Amino acid sequence: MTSIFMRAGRPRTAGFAAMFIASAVVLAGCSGGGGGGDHDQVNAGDLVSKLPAAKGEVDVLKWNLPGEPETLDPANTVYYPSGTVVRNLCDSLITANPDFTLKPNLATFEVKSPTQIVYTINKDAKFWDGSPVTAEDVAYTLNRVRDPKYVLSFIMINVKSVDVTGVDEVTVNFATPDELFANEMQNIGIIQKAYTEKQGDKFGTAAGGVMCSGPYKLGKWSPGNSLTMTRNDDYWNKDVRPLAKTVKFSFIGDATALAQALDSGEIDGSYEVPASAIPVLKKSSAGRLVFGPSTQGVNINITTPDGVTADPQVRQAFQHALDRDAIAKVVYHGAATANFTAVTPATWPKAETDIYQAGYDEIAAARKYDLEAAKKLVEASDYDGTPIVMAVQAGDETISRVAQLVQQQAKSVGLTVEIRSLQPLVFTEAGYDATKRKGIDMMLQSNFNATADPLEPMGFTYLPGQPYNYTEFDNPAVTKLLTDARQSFDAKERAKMVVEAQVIIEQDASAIPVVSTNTTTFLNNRLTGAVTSFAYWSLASMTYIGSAN
Amino acid sequence: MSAALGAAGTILAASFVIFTALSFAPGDPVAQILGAKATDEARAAKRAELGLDDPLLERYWHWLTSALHGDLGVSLTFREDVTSLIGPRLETTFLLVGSAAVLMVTVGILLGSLAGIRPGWRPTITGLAGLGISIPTFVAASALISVFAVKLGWFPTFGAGEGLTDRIRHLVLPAIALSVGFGAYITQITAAAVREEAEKEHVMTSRGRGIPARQIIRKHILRNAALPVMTASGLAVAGLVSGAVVVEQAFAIDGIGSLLVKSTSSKDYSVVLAISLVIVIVFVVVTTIIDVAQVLLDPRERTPR
Repeated sequence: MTSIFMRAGRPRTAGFAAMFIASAVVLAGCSGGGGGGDHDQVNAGDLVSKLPAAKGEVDVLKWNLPGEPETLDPANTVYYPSGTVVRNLCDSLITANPDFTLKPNLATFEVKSPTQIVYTINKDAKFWDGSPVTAEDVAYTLNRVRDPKYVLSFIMINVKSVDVTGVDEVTVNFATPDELFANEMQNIGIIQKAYTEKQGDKFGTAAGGVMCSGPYKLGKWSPGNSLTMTRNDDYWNKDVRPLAKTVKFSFIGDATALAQALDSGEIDGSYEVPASAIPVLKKSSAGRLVFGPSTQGVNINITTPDGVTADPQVRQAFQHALDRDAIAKVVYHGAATANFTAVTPATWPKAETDIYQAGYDEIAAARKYDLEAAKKLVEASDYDGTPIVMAVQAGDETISRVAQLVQQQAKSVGLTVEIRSLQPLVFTEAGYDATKRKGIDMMLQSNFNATADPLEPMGFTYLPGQPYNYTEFDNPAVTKLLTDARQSFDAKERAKMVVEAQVIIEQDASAIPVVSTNTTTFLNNRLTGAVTSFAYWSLASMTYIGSAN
Repeated sequence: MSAALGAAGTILAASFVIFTALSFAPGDPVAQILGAKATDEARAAKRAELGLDDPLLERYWHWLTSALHGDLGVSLTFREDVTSLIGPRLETTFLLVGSAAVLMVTVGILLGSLAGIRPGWRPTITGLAGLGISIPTFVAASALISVFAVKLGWFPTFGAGEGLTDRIRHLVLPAIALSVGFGAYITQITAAAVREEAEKEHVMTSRGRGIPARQIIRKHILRNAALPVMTASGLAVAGLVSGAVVVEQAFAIDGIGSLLVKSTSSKDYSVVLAISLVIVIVFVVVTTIIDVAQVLLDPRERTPR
């Protein structure tokens, strides 16, 4: 979900499980080897956030989504397809740059006090129908999302009220200070009150559509076939000039079919190219494959307070047993990078990178790949050979190959891992319902957090009583640090507190980080300009892409 | 009349079995609708709104009565009427299955008859048919795509297209991929049936009496061989509908097959039921047509014993 921290098999509707099924190049994961001499290793420094600026207009840009959007209602857009489309249609109050930093969009804001933010709406802003974007519309959008029936409602949990307080002014008051809120505003597209109310239940569906103010207007959405957006030639924000007159989205989820369509030039580009399509597309002469930084990652999360994995030595043994580089190389073909902390590096706020990097390096060094160290830890522990059950989401080929490698590597240090495949729906349920996790020691999960703010995932995981605190972790020092950080508006102080908390958290090792996954983009050679970091999901990505000549 | 009653009974029973099976399958559809971050209260409210906690029979009855009034419900995932959701996809799948069926029946019967009548052709054709049967549909699909779409660029690699000509162009490869297996099967059935008829005594006698070969083939051989071929073709057409799931996946065609796969994994009741019913109805209709056609072809069937 958006900056929404989510843990799931993969952030997409369960149906997209088909994404990885088809081209099954299942080389049961022989750890060292990999493909014939290809240079699959991708280091953090090689990642690209944006391609060179585009030079000219194009008539039609044919782009693929990993599935059909299930809705275009901004209050429910939390998956790849819907998010990608909605960010191009609906302006949010603030928006992201390709490097994850944020900038004002529909509004500027001022933090008046820890419990009050005032937004001033841009006077030029106009909906597609020409009517102005009013404070009324903004307040309506935000108040609407507060209803728990909307997936994004959790952004609003600390909000006390949202009111129109001036002609162009909306004031948000908080029950408890919430540093995250201002950043989360990149994830809520502002909608027109009148249109939304008129459409009722149909709002956001193919039949009802949406009314927004973004750089593209919703064209024809033929369910099951394609969705078209046309350029909003009267776009209020003169700094943004979309180059493609029309964008036509297809919904190919199958890795083989997608690779063939991109390779033949029938589709111009795609984000979220599945790992199994990478070897083919790397060789393609039609376009190029680009890896960009992403906040997403794959962790093995310990999912129970008791059992074999409660033993700290067993947890630490896993940390040393994993050859993360090999996993990144063999399974992901470059679409992932070894990662050593539960929070992925791209989640760090840019300005405080130094503080975070220092903390990260220390932890990474302490848990580097070391089979001897791992074996010693296992021997010293009480581990008696009981199988450790690791749940994975069924139908996700990439994840299942990661699981096989983890199983093999654990075995080499004397830990027996049993892989249990769960249907997507059951897997998601097990993520939040302890009764569905019975008999499961750990889960191999992806996390998806689009906002560069470590507090989001950490808050949901390491505070007592939080939904993802599977191991009932309760450390007063961590609780204090995280709570203070969320209420602090001094970025440097906040970074120090988070890093301090991270040391304690990682010592406990209730998460075994595996890789941070890179955003994988394919773009036809006739085009350029694309944002290739995961920030694409938080901004109007299609406005950047244009002709290469 | 009794046929219609039987068909209705089949459809009713099938819908109940599917509904029950789906509700016993693990997984809560609300997990998909609200995502992993929702509060327990929001989930409970959603379950109540959708009536997911009501007893099974009550829910089924509710679904059945609405369905009889033409209301197939709303998709849990797409929050859209099932009718508008499956309408365009149904068109796509029917076009695909229809063209595959025409291809399968014409090519299958032509080759099969040739093999049956001309012994010289027999080894080649039965060999090819054996090969055709043994090629899995998805292998045929990827082979066709890589040769005719990617290498030669004659056809598009994915999608269903828009407008009639574009659609036909898009469906050529999928239809071939879909029809290979069943087409080969029909070839073999036809070859065997024609051969058997050709060796019957009355055919030999007719030959001896100097009746022109063309007439013998048409009146005595093909007409009599038509019965088993007809039955096999009917079943094969129905089989194409389920085979479409694989082909739709390979060619990224968003028809009811791929929708069925998605909806089943997200427990989208109304969509799964509606699609399953369409498939059941196709089966029922096809078998009924076969029965009727058999009566027309075979006079013995007309008089009840």
